[in-house]
Amino acid sequence: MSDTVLSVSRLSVSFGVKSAATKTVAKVVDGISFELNAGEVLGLVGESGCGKSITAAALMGLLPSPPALMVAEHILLGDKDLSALDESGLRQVRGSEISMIFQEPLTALDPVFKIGSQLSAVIRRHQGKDRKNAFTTAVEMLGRVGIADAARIMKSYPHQLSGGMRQRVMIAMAMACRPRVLLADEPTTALDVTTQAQVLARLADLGRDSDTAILLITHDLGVVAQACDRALVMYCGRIVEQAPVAELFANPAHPYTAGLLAAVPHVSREGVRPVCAIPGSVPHPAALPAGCHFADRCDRADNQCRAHVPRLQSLEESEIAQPHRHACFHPLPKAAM
Amino acid sequence: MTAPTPPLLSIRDLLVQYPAAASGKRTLAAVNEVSFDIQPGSIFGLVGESGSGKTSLAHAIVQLVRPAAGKILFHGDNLVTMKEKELRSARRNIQLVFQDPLVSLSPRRSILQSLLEPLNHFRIGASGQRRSRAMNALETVGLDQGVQHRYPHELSGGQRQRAALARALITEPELIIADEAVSSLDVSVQARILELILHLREKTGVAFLFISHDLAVIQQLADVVAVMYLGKMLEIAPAGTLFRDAAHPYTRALLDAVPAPDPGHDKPLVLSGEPPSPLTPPSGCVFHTRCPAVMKQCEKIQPAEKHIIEPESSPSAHLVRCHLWNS
Amino acid sequence: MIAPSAGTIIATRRGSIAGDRAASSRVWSSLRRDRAGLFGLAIVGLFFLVAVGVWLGWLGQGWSAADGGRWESAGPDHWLGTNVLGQDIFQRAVYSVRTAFEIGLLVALLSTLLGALLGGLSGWYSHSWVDDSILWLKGVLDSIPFYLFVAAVAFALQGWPWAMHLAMIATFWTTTGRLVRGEVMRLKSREFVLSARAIGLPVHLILLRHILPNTLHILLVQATIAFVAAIKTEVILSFLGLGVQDGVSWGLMLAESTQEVLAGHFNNFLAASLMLFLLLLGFNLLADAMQDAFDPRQNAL
Repeated sequence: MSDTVLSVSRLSVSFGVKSAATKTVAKVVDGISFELNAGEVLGLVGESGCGKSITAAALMGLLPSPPALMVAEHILLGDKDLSALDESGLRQVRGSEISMIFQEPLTALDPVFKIGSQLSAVIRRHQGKDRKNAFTTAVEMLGRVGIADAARIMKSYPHQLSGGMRQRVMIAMAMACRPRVLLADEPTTALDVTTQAQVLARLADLGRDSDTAILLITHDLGVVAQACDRALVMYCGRIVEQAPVAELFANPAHPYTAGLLAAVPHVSREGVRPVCAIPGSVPHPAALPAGCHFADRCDRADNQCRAHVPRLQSLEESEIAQPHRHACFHPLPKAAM
Repeated sequence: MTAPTPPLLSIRDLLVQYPAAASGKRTLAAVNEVSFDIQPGSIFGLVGESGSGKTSLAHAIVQLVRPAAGKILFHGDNLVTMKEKELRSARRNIQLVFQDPLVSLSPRRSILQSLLEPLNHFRIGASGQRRSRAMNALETVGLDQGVQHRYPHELSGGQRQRAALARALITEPELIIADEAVSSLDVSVQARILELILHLREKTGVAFLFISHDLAVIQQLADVVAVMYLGKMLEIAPAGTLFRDAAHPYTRALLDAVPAPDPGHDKPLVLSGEPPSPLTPPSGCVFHTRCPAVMKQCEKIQPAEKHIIEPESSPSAHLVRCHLWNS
Repeated sequence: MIAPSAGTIIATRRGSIAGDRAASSRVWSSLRRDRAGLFGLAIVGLFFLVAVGVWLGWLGQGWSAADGGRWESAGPDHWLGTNVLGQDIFQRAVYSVRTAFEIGLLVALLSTLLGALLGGLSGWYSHSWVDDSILWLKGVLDSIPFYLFVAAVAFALQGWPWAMHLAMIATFWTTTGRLVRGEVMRLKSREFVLSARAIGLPVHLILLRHILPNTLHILLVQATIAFVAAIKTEVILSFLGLGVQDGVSWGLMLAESTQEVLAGHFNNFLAASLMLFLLLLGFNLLADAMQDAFDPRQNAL
């Protein structure tokens, strides 16, 4: 049932950092590997600066180079290696096989064209439909993302729509060609909670209908819990934990994951559940500690953690189809819950 | 209970209007007949989505905008009718903290300069002592004295928000208005700022008007919670009551829509539609276009304020504006 | 679309590495890494020393003495030969450095100050009558062809040595004013300005402490541009006879040389245009480097 549609192996991205006298290199994404299966929603979660957005941009081939330097063993989308494609090859793939939506759709939509013409242009370019067919498909797509009065929206300019409407349009545009993979970079962060719930639900429905795998990048563990099947936790450019969502929330193995979970406030009928902060602060990407990047903030860390980089490994007892992996020498024991 | 203490801040029928630029002489009522009280030393949580008028309310309280009608009573004195000179003491006692401390601290002034500015302006303490006061404020918010010569962009997000809090605290105010003060922070940092706010209230007895779109954050702090929608206050209740027995359908929808960081939790009830534009608010109850429990009278008649819990029986009344409760 | 977001992630973390260096020293360290900028600074510095030398009476004092023969060629007495009146071309070219700096500094300083003042007022009181009238004034000045305007002022104030300066200051401020107005309008709604207003700080203090310091990058760059423009304009106006009234300048030398070049004497022409070229080159290099140094995004990575 789980066909791999996107397989990323040892992806690294670094930036040259100029300071007063020296030129150093900041490794923003550090050799990450993961697989995305057909029809699943995979969460990529982490705090600002952990490299999650850079990862998505790298997958799309959208990183400006220089200053960015991207290296990967492979990024396989079906049988195509995206890391080996040139710009024109990537342009073929983008929009038709792999699409992306962003946090702020206002900046991603062209302000001087009407929604209708932007949406049908995408459909015409990638599906070779004529003007009339593309228009019909566009209206149909808007309906599928939950826009009731599609005809009016087609005639509007981006700034005339609310944030939620704009994000729906972006989703319609990204999903118009039924891509195999959709990268969604904080798609609901700029939206109000009631709108966020609607947009997330639509996104999941559409993904299921067109068998598109979604990589949902977010800082919000609530969004991960509600919308994702599996999740990857990123810290300082590395994946520190990977697990099915239920397993991740019930039995976090990496102390960072556990720390994040404890820091998120819950809304609860039963009263206040106080939050716990993670001590210390995120190190600068140009001055990362050797070994485990989380060691300085971790109460389980010892000399081994400070000297060696922990590899992503499976938890012994989880011999299920979707393994629970973590990058920690001293993982937390399974919670007695 | 003993005799109720007089409120620190009382808002009565506050109306804040802006000219709607594109549409000639029409006005936009960002805050529409809002009333509430904040008790000394309490944390009053105000929740609302974008366009609810929560920021306009904050700006009206510190007189950045002049309200069109209504009263803002601070210790019983109406700030709305005061002249700038008479406002001086209120301005000292009500401080504002913003969402993004990178832009709320003056970018070309050092942290120390930013801290000294209110002290010099209000002539607090002898000029020789002001520096040590600034150092105390830094210590109170948990910042090292070394940051005094830094500039805002040289600090991390959490440090900047601490510095912004230090600046707000330095005049020893009785009320701090925090407008989305933790919304731009990462969760691990946010947790520490929430702890700090509780600690500051404990230590200095300052009251907070804590404005946020995030109910989970509000629950961490607030004693009393108010819910705004399109300029109207739809519900006010003690925090425990509101999170347990929310009365207004909008509050319930809002509570359901917050994605719980718990995969076992029920999928959120999806509220349809989006808030209408504040330029053209719906007639009757402002929420009726999206309300799952809408009735005929909701489209025509504005619901009156209704006490579910009378003020005498609890530290704060439970108020709701909804026809469901008006029978 | 993704490029800025990738950049900002790094940019927001810059702070922790930047240490406790103040903004000004960061600008300086950025400038120091820019070789072309340093070269420009060296040229401008050298010219400035010459100008100071002239002011102090150490250099170029013999510019007006006609103690040579007509059109003498270069030699030990007259390093670059003499002009039609027998005046020393080298001395005149050196003395003109002072003229250039006088005009450049005066015009750059006053036009930038005027632009900051009018732009600041217009931005703070945007969409009020103050703003409207300043915009109207700017519109009128911008719509008159510049050389026509200068000629008109020069004619109207004929004989007054500062007519040219006045004309330049009156027109050069408009670009600065427009840029400052936009920046002030942007800053006005920033939260640090709101917090200053919320504690009741009076308007003049808010403008002085919180707004103008944040337009400094515009002002410095605009001042360098105005400096270069003023020197260039002086040359053209003097060439046309509308410029420097008494004294000497590269523009006057070029005007003289028009007759000489036809007669095969190039010294005057070469001396004036080379000096002008060198100074402008130096200044443009410096201005570019300053623009980069003050652009915060350039410092981010």
